[in-house]
Amino acid sequence: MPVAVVPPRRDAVGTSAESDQIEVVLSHLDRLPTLPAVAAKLLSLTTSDKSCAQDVVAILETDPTLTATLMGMARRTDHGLRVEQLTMSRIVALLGFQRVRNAVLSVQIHNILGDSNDDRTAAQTRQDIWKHSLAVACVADMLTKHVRGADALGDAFVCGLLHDIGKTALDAAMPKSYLRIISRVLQRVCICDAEREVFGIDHLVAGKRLAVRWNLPQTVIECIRMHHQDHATLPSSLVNPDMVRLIQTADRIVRRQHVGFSGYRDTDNLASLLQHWSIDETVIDQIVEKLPERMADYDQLIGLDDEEGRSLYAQSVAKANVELGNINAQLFTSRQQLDRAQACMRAVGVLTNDVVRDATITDVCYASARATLELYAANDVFVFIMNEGLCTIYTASVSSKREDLAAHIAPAVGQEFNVLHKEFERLSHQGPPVSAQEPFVSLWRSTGYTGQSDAVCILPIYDNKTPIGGVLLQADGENSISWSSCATEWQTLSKSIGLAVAMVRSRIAVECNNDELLDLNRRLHVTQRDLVRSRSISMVSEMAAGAAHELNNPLSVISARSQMSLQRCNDPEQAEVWQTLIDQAKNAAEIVTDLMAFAKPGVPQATEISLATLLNTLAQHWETRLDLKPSQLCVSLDNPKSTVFADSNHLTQVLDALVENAVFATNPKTRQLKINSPSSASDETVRIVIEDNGVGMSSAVLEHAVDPFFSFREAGRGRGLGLSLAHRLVAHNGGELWIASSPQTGTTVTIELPARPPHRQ
Amino acid sequence: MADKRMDPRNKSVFTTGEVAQVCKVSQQTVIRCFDSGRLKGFRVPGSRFRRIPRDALITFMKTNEIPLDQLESGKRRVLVVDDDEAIIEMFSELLQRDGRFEIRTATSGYQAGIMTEQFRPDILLLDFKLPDINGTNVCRTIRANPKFGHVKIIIISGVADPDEVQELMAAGADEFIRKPFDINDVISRVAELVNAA
Repeated sequence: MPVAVVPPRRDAVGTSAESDQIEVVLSHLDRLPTLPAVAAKLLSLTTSDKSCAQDVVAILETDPTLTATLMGMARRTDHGLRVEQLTMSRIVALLGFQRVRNAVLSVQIHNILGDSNDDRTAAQTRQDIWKHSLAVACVADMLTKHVRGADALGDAFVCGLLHDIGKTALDAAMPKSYLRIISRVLQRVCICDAEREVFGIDHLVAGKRLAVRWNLPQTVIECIRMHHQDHATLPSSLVNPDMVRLIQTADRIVRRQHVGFSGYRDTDNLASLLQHWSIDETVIDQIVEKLPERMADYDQLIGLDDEEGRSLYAQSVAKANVELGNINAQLFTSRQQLDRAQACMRAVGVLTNDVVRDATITDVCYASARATLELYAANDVFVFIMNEGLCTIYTASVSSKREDLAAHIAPAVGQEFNVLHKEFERLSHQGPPVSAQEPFVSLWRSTGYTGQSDAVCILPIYDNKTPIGGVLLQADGENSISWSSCATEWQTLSKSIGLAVAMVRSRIAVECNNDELLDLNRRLHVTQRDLVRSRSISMVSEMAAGAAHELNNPLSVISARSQMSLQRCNDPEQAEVWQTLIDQAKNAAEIVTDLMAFAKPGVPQATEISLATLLNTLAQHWETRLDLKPSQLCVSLDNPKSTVFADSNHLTQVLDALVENAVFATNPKTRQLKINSPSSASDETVRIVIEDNGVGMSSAVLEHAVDPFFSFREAGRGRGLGLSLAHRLVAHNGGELWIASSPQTGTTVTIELPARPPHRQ
Repeated sequence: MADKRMDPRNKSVFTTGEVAQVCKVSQQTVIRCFDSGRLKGFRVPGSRFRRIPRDALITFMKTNEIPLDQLESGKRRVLVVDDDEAIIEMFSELLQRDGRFEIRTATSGYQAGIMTEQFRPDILLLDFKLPDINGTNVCRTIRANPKFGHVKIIIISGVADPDEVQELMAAGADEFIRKPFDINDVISRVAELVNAA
């Protein structure tokens, strides 16, 4: 069959950069030599096509190298032969056409692609690739004897030999790049991915490309293209899908035996492939046993290596073992890392479990100590967190030696803080771990630690790179883990502790802010209320002062004129009218007086007054003025010697107003008024409590109780200045007045005033 | 009804004839005393008419032990000072009805000053809050003049602030009466202060 050069064809499509790269690779591939005439001829012949055998012999005889090779092969088969007896026809007869053909093909293709003058690694890899292909070819060839209908499949050896031609081709075209792929494969990257990564195409595509160019049979092309495809999902368009499966089977067997280099390790589909062929493992065992022997032939033929097949096999097994050992070691390391990560997670778990919503810094210390104990399996752990603002050190220590992980939680304060803080500043710049210095160990000892101080090290705790505290660790136990082996885990735990501290601090700060805000709000509210009140009082004051003058004049005229008229009047009825006018004018004037008293109470002339004397005097006064029966008023003093420091006129006005209110609020039949002075918490103040069992006030009324002109009584019964005046006068005398009341239960007014002059405090 | 201006009790400057009438002596005697300097006075500018001021006359009469009956009515002079007409009317009527008092009124501090000078009251019923000068200042001004040393002052006011009352008393007031008041009380206090018969 004439050798034809097939024009390059695009097998892969991608981005323009990728396609450029692929184009370069393909052009490299196209530059590879074409298949020699001998090989081409041999490939075109099938095993059954013996008529052409003579042609082949003729071709072989023209190639002295091939002739020599085949003679060597024949002699190894039959050692009794002499060289001069060997003709090419005889060799073909002796070895069988198929063996001759396979041998020639192997040699020819190896010569084209497997030639190497590179470094040792590259040469070795190339040999390994060939070894793998040869092994697959041999196994495939052997498998045909165990597979039903294998005769119809065609030449399994050729398909096996050429199935990885793509690798060889890529290697031959771009040897340096291919070395990179090999190194990637050794790092456990799939060879196809590595090839696509470097060349844009993999060996399947490259192989197919070369096969087409060499005009190889379709079956071979399919094997090249499809030998990595899942055997169950091969496209239906394939000419010879079973050959592909056969090659896949052989490939997996060889991979399992670690013969040569395939770039793959998994043998995943082997079981299902065997199932497909209905053959069992014993067959495989037989084939594998024969494999070294079969390969030896070809090895020598191609000159791959001089070692015997058995030793090659042993070497493969040894290699596989080494690899397994490596994997085991890696697994062990991973497990150790996982163990430590798990310990770290457990420790963090302990921490997060213990740091509850309303945790304090001390709680975090304790939780951190427990977490560190968990991480390092230490015997004793001591945690301290510094608070520069408050010059305080929060500490906690736990010990696994003592019963139930005894915890000692105490914030350490005072003079030693500065010493500790200075030392800490110094240590925190040294980097972990540092051996703990005396002040810290002393601090620890103060919580009951009794261990050695030289074995103690400090691991710092950071909050966002700022050292905020540390952990003191006594790591002398047999079970304890060394600090250095857990450096990463400690960083995680340290960060978690830092985070927990920051969280608690910000929560406390927020709470403080909240409290402050609440307090400010309350004070603002009080100030606002006072402002409104003082504003209304100042308005009332101005109005009262104006009204006093304006009202008093007409009142004076009314009163005086009425008096003059009364004097002249002889008619008793008329006289009564004048008298009424006089009285009403007097009442009106009193209102004005009250108003003015409220508006301008005058500077208090405070003196120390005996409360008992004052109350007794006033009680008599009230009994007569307010029609109060002695049984309705109960005056009691916890301390009969109580004094009050106030303006006596003011105080009298206050008590008058309060008692008057109480009388008005109560039913005369059930009226019960109590005035007492309970012993005060402070000697500096005295309290007077006026309690009635009257109608009481709702909260809405209570809210306005001290507002001027707010009267709860019926219209005309009061001027609404009593409580207001009392409140004002008490405040004026440096005291406070507050009211508790509920409807139908009664009202309790409490006055608190200074008990004595300020300078005697 | 005789012209008030002719009444010697109201005059502030006298002719020699009037002085003769008040002192119950001859006009010649008066002229002699004037010319000898015992009776102080002045001549009307551009003429030789002699004029004697009330003060000089009183001093002369007191020096020579001449009774002052013709110069004084016997009634106590009361000056009521208040910016409220109704108050003024009421006081005027009240005091008039009593019969022992001769009454003049003023509605401002300024007017009160002029009236004090002209009317020479025995007592002032003074409102504390006046539109121009307040009662304290009126009080103080009167007291600053030794000529009015004998004048009594009663403050009548609606003010109740003890501090202010104290201030008024310090400025020279004799009494303080709160508005509104008992009329009998006011009359008796006024009478008491001026020894009204």
